[in-house]
Amino acid sequence: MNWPRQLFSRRLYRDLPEEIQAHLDEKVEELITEGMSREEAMQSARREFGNLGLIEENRREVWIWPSVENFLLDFRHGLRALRHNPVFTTVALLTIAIGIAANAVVFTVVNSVLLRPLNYPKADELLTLHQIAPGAEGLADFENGLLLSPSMCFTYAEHNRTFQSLGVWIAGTANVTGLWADLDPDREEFLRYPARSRLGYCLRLPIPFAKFFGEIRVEGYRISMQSRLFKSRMN
Amino acid sequence: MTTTTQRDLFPGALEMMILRTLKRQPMHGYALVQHIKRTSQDLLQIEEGSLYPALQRLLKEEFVKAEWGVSSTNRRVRIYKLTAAGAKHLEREVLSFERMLEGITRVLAPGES
Repeated sequence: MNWPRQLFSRRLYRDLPEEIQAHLDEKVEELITEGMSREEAMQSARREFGNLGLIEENRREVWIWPSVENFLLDFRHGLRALRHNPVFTTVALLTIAIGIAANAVVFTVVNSVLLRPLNYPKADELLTLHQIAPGAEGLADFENGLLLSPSMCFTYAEHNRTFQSLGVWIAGTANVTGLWADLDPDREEFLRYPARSRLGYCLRLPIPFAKFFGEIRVEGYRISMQSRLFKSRMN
Repeated sequence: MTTTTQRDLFPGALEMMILRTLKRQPMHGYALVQHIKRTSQDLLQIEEGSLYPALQRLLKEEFVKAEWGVSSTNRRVRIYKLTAAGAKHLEREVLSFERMLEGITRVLAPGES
């Protein structure tokens, strides 16, 4: 049975108490005709009719999903219980809130460190190289590796036989005001690649930088910005 | 002590009797109960109230339809009518019941071990 019809049928369900009452009235009248008093007739009619509560429940189950109705009843009962016990409700809500927040924090860390792929093509093939120089104390530490000079970078890139390409990145910030004076004057994060970086990728930078420039292509020490916004400004 | 063993009807039996009764003519609930009791010569003890959940099931399945009308005793009652789907359902149910009855009768027949 489709929904519109079922909604219409609910009217049939709601009419039933009136129908049952008519049934009982007719039965009472018949029993009175047979010689019973009205009181006896009413008792007898109710007895022969059966358990009204059970019948009511049975007929309701025909039209209504009992599980849904039971769930709603339980839900309302739960809300009432919570309203009558504010201390318990507050403690329970705080516990749940702290639990959710802790979960969110842990997930954020796990997602950014372990799950979310880096923003490069074939990010799973990307490796980080550290150069270490045992014995060169003061120049290197084993956690951060030896600092890299441009000449070392070129040397590694030219002698590289193991990797498809080799790149170096430097994190920093840049001021993006000036030509685009209407842009947010905040300094934006950027990544700068030195010459001969053969990553050859168009880096898609995260918001908010990317929303202005779309993508950045690394060409030597220059960073060329390609976007409709940039082109429209330069034209 | 005298004990009367009253057994429940098998599932669907009441619906089948209601459909069969309505096939004769449209009726309201009270008249249906009286007709079934009278026709069965009181062999079937049907709780009158159990008729209404059965009628609701038949309404939901669209085997019967109901309209408010006036009874012979001039009361406002809901009169039930058999639908075409109900008539087909009745045929299938009666056939199924006759087969079941035949099987039971064969098993209970004297002389069979």
